[in-house]
Formats: sequence, C-alpha cells, structure tokens
Amino acid sequence: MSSQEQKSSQKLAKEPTTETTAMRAVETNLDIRAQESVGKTQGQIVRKRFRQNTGAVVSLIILLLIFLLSITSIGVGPIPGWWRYNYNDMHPIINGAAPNAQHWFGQDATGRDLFAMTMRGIQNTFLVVVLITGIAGFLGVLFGGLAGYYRGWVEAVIMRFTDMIIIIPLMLLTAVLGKLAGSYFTGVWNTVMFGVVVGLLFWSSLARLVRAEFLTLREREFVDAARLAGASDMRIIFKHILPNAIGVVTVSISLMMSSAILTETGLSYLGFGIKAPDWSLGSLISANQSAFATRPWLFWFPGLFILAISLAINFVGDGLRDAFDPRQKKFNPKKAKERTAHSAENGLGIDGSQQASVQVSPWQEQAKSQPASKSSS
Amino acid sequence: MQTSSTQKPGQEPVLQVRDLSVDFGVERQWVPAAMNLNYEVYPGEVLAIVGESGSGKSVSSMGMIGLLPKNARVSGSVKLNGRELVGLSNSDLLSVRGEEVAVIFQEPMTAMNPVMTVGDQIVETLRLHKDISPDQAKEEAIKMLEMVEMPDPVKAFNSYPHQMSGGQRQRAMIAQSLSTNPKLLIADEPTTALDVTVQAEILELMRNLQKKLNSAIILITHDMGVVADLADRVAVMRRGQIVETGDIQDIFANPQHDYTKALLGAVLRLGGDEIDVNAAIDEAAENMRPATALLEQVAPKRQGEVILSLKDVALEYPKQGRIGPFRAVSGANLEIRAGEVLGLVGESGSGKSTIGRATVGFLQVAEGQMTVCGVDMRKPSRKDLAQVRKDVGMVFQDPSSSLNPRLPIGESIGEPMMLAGVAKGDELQRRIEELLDRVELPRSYRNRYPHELSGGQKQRVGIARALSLKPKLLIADEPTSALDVSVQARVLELFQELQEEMGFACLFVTHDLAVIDALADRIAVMRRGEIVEQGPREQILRHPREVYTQRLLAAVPLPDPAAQAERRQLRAKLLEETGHVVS
Repeated sequence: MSSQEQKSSQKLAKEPTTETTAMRAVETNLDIRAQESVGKTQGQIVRKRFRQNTGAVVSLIILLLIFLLSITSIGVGPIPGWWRYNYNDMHPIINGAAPNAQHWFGQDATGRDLFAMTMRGIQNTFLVVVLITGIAGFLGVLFGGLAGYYRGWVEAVIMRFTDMIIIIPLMLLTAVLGKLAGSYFTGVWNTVMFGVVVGLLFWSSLARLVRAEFLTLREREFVDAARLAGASDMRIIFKHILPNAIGVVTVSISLMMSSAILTETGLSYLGFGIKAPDWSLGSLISANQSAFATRPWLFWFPGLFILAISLAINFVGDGLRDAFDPRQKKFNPKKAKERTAHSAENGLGIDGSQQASVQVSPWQEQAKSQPASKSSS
Repeated sequence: MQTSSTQKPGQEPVLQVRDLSVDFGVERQWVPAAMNLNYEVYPGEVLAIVGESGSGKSVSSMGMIGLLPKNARVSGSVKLNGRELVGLSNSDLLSVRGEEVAVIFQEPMTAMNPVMTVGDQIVETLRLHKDISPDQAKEEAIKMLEMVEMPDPVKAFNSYPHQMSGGQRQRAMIAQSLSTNPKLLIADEPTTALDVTVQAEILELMRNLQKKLNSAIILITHDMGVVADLADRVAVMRRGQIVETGDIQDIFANPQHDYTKALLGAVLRLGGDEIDVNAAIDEAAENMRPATALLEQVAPKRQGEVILSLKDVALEYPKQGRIGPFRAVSGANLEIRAGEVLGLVGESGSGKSTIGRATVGFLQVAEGQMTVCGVDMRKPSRKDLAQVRKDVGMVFQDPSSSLNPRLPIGESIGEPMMLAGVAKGDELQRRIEELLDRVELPRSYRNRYPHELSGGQKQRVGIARALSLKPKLLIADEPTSALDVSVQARVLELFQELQEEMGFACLFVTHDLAVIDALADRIAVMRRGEIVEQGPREQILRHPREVYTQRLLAAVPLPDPAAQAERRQLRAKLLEETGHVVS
C-alpha cells in the first residue's frame, strides 16, 4: 500500500468502522493468547514469583511461627499466655537448672525460667526491629526521594547530611544516644525509645539507594508526561515515581531488618540497649556469658533464635529481590517440558522475557483490509 | 553488484543451514525463537534476513556461532565450508569466531571497548588469530583503517571510540571484523543506529568492500530500503520461520507470501507516488532549481491563527556543575498555524527534540521570542505554564517509557483531565472510553497495565493521553521510531485520521523523512541546531534548495532495487557536484 493509496482509501472510506471492528476482533483473539499476563498487576506477578521460591516461603512461615510462639506463650502486657512462668519471677531450681519438662529451656542461676525470658527477648527484638525499619524506612524514602527528585541544593544538603551520619560509627552513636534515652524512660518505653533512636540513625543507606533509583526514574518519559498533565511535584514523587521504586525499597528494608536485629543484639550485649529486668536476645547472652562453660543452654537458646530470625529474614529479603527482578530467572534444561508456540505468540520477547510486546494484529488486519480498500478506491 | 545473484550450481556454499532451530528455556518450557530454518550463502553473495522485532533473525544468526545465553538451545545443522558448527565446544568455536565468521553489531559504541584505542582493538584481533609481531599488526591495522576509507587512519588508530563519530566507529568496527579476512560476515543491523546520511556512506563502503573482498555477507535488518540497496537474495522471517526466500528482484517485484506483501506494503516511500524524489535530486545535482520567488507564488497561502511562533530563538541546556551551558538550538524561526502539520526533520543531535521540549516549558528560552497559543514563553509564570500545558499535548518517543508501568492505562489517559479539573467520576470514565474508541482500542483495556500491551497499542494510549484535553497543538516527538514498520504504518494512519478529524496543529519531530512526508503540510530541516530550510512539503521534496536537504533526500534508501540503484548514482553525482565532506 503506497502512501497515496493509503490517503485515497482513507478519504473515500472515511467511516473507520469496518477496519476498526476487524481490528478489535483480532485484538480480542490476542486476549486469549496473552491471558497469562492479562489483568495482573505487577504486585500480583511479584507475589506469584515469591511463592515459587521455596526457601523464602519456608523462611516466612518460620518467622511467623516464631512470632506467634513468642506472643502466645507469655502473652502481651496484661493478657496472659499459655506458659505458666513469667520472665522475672524466681522459682526453685529443678534438675540442676538444665532443660526439663517443667522448664523447657532450663533456668538461670537465680531460678528464672529461660523459656519465658527468651520469648520476652523475641518480643522485644521484634518490637525494636519494627520500630527501627519503620522509622528508617520512612526517613530513607523521604530523604532519598526528595534528593533524587529535586537535585540541586536540596540534594547537596541531604546527601552531605547522609554522608555525615555514615562516617560516624553507628554502634558508637547509638550506644551513646540509646543510653541517654534509656536513662529517661523505664520499662517498655525504654525499649521503644531505643528503637526510635536507632531508627533515626539507620536510614542513610536506604536514602542513597532510593536517591539512585529516583535519579534514573525521573528521566523516564512518563515523568515528563505527568508534568505535562499538570501533576504537582508531590504527586509525581509519590504517585508516579515511588511505586516504581517500591522493589528497591522493599528489598532493602527487609535486608535492613536483619542488620537491625544484629545491631540491637550487639548493643544489648554491650549493655547499652535493653536492660534488666526486661530482656532482649542480646542481653540474655550477655547476662549468661559467664555460664558458657557450665550451663551452655543459657547461651545456646537465645543464640539459636537470633540465628533463626536473622537467617529467615535474609532469605525472605533475597526472595523478594528475586521476585522483583525479572532478570533473575531460574532455568533447568533437564526439567524443561516440550516446546510451546513461538515466543511472539506466547506474548514473550524473543529470549522469553516477560515485558514482551504482542505485535500480531496489524498484519492480519492489513492483509484483510487491503483488497477492501483497493476496491473502494 | 547484482550480477550472478542466482544460486551458482558449480560453487560450494560458504554456509549451509539445515533445520536450524533455536529455543529459549523459560519457566520449564522451551519457547522456540527460530524454527527449522534452511538457507545457504554462496561466496560473494549478500543474503538479507528481513523481519520485524522478535522474528528471530538475530537470534538464529548468533546461535550459529554460539553467542547466546545459557538458557538457549540450538539444534539442526550449520555447515561452514563443510564443517559442522552446531554442537562444537566453546573452545573450538573460538577459532571460528573472528577468524572465519565475523560480526558487525548494531551499536558500535557498545560493541567497542571504551578504554582501549581503536587501533589496539584491531591489533588484538589480529594477534589473536595470526602469528605476527605487534609492529606488523599495527601496520596491518592501519592498512585496514585505510581500506574502510577512514579520513585519517593513523589518527584513528590512536583514538578512543568516544572520540569518533558514529559513522567512524562503525567503519572501525568493520575494519576490525574484516582484519582476519573472514569467509562470512554477519552484519546485524549495521546501520540502524546511524543517521540516514551516514547510513548511506556505510552502505556504500560495505558494497565496495564486498566487491573487493568477495566475502559472503548475512545482512540482518528490518529496513527494506537497506535490503534493496545491498542484498542479492532475501529471506523473509516471521515469528521464527522463513516464510519466503528469493532473489532480490523477485521479492520486490513479485512477492509470493502474504506477509512479504504486507511488509512491503507497509514500507513508507518518500514522496509517495506523486513526487519523484529521484528527479528532484537529479535536478539538484544539475543545479536546476526554479527561483524562490516563483516557488512562493505557487505555494498555497497560509491561513489561520498562529499557534506556535519562534523568532530568533536560542535554547540552552543549563550548566551542570563545571560544565557550562550547552546551546542546542540557535536562531530558530518557525511558525505553525491552526490545523497545520509541520514536520521537523533532522539527524541526531540537530536540536529538533529540544524545540519540542521547549514548547511545553521543559526548557528555558535563552534568547529570542517564543509564543505558544498566545502565551509568551520567555519567563512564563506558573499559571501561564499550566495554561500552555493544557493547550499542548505531547506524544513521546518510547511508548514503553512514556507510560507509568504501575498505573492502569485508563488512569494514565484520564490523569490530564482529572488534574485539569475538566471531568471526574463517571464523566471522566465516559471520556476515557471515548478516547479509547478514538484510538481504536477496546474499552476493556482501561484496566490493563502497560506491560500487557504491544508497542503499537502503547503508542495509541500515548496519543489518547495527548489528545485528552483537546489540545490546540500536538507535539509528536518521534512517535513511531520505536515501532516496527507494520505497526508504524497503522499508527501513522490513525494519527492522520485524528488530525483531520480534530484539526489540531502539530509539530511532528522525526529523523525519518519518509514518515513525515505522509503527514506534513510543511517541512523544516534542521542541522546542528539551526533550521537550514523550511517550506511546503512539495517544495522541499521537489525543489530542495540547500545542499544539506538535497543530501538528506538522496540518502534515504528506496525500497525498490532498481530505483535505489538509480538513486545511488544520483547521490554520487550530487556529492561530486557539491563537494564531498559532510560529517
């Protein structure tokens, strides 16, 4: 069809109805072919891919079980749990304080029940981790987003501030500030304040990542399109750019969690974090370190939970990263089944990539419409 | 060139491909990318493999020499001079690659190592395959650079890739590929990343070298014009299969398969059937051109309100850090009236997109006066800018980048109307449906996400969004350059329909003269930040005044072997008349 023919056929057959219907028919056929990806948001695709990652799913289940165990066993606040001891009452020592049917994890030197103490430690660890990642995640996204979107002096100020926080050893700073905060508050509030202080210092690495992501995303044409549509800066940042950076944010927050656990246990071990009579996993180890040779279970059980929790969180984080990154494809030639239709018909790219375009329609439609347009002109 | 293009019974083929299939493993399935290909290439022959993106043309050729990722599976038989390539170990293939089969890639900038000089890269290739001293290798490398008509071979030897122009880099790439005297050269879209005038030069070089070296070439391309220019035989691929193989003359004059016919039908021809561009180039070469005054008398009077006007406008990208401001456009004069389509044509870096972006206030006007829909754009206030952005719609180049991947397309289309407060709730939904009808997409697509749509469909969504506020002016920034020919033809048709229906003025920015030719009332040609020539479409195509415009016209390859041969000669004549040096 030369351009002249194109023009004349258009002018004569101005009503686009026949062509349009033909085209629609073809495109509805396409629907069946591309059903695999139809109607799925990116979130659904990510969830599907995450579910296929056995290690990550198992880790997530383990995390949930640990959490439920700690909540139900000794209860929360005034609500009692199913475990008959609590974490600061002293009881007569049974079986030389070694693990037995009454005290599953044994007892410490003063007769306190180690199972209850460990559960309390897990609760506190979860509380602190949620606080740290919540605050650090919020600040990191906010600062990183603003710096990446606005550039210029906003970026300069925020990033130099970030650099400053990065160069001060985190352990030292949190130790001093955590201790300071701890001296004004007691009980649960002590734990909360500790979490808040650490969270306020934890956001710098996330801010850098988010900024880098924003720097690339802000150059994409859809941001120009949004600006052209009259969107305000805040709308562009939060509605257009941030949802596209959610992968980076989710993954680095989940990985931040495991380092938050280690920071908390480390600080508590050093005596700067959560203090007796309340317990964290780190302070349990610290309190019982002298008993390592004589009653090693006092040391092993809290340590085991630290290991389990931070490993599980790391696996979940890795699973999320794989799910968000379509380039991470697993393929085992031995497991592969038979060949399917050609990639173009499958709605895949030539190398099987997902973002493929399904460009079939115009051909069939054009082949059909050609004789028709000739006869009309 | 087009001598013995039929199969030569006496000669052994350089490459014989039988039942070649390439599959990719995806989620426990083998997805075929190429299926049961059969073809052969004879010495001194250029076989063009033509197909649209995703047809498997590159993948099948790279599969032959084992250059595919691990999840690929190649089966069938590929014989290079009687030696089987499929199933060879990687170490055996090392001696085949580079020495017997060389590849020219699409993008010379990424195909060359940026931290090595061009000369070192050629020397490396030479010394890997031949037992020669560094000095000999250097001598030979310079000889190769001379052969590819590099302006200053010694200087080129010592330059890094980023110090060269795109055309020079591609020449260097060719020199490197040919340095080992391969029996087969695979050229994978060798000119796609280049400007049209540079493309013409590279094609000419490849033709000369092919004649000189008598090597076999597999030319992988989507561009029918390039095929017509260079190929002896053509294999048309579609969805992993070769649908038609034949002599170049047969394929163009008498295509058998429906797909080939459709492919040829979708190719845009510069000038259409009414304007003989070859004649225009001939006239230009003979220096026969009617007087400007005469042309202006014939030109139709322009009417209507002035929508966009530029008077001596200069545009600058602001300075970043220590790098000073960059002046992308200077002294531009332009005027678009209501209902007019102005095609702004230029090669990469000519500043054509910059004008488009400045029109909507993405860029400050450094000098001169720019008025958009009655608003002075020199120092626009926030309110003025908002007003302009309501009156101006924009269609972007890359459809996959211009739609937010996390927003359903209905929301993308509705956003301008929602933010402008034109409509909301049910009224907004109704308008979105109306727009989807306009661009011939099913209404149900409203809830889909961009990744579920094909490139052409995404670009329709982009057009719908640009038209949602019924703009007075539409800026189309290379809207079809990322699309396949067939899809491009449909999108342009739709664009034309909509323009006639809605009557908006349009600034259509493109590098492809053939694309704009079908649409534009007027054409402006840009070069290095300046508008060198503008006028009505007929005048530019029939009687180009400026040397650059003439060269641009002559460089556009025609999808017709005979006419292209003629144009090639005319181009040579034109270059002789007007002096050689361009880039």
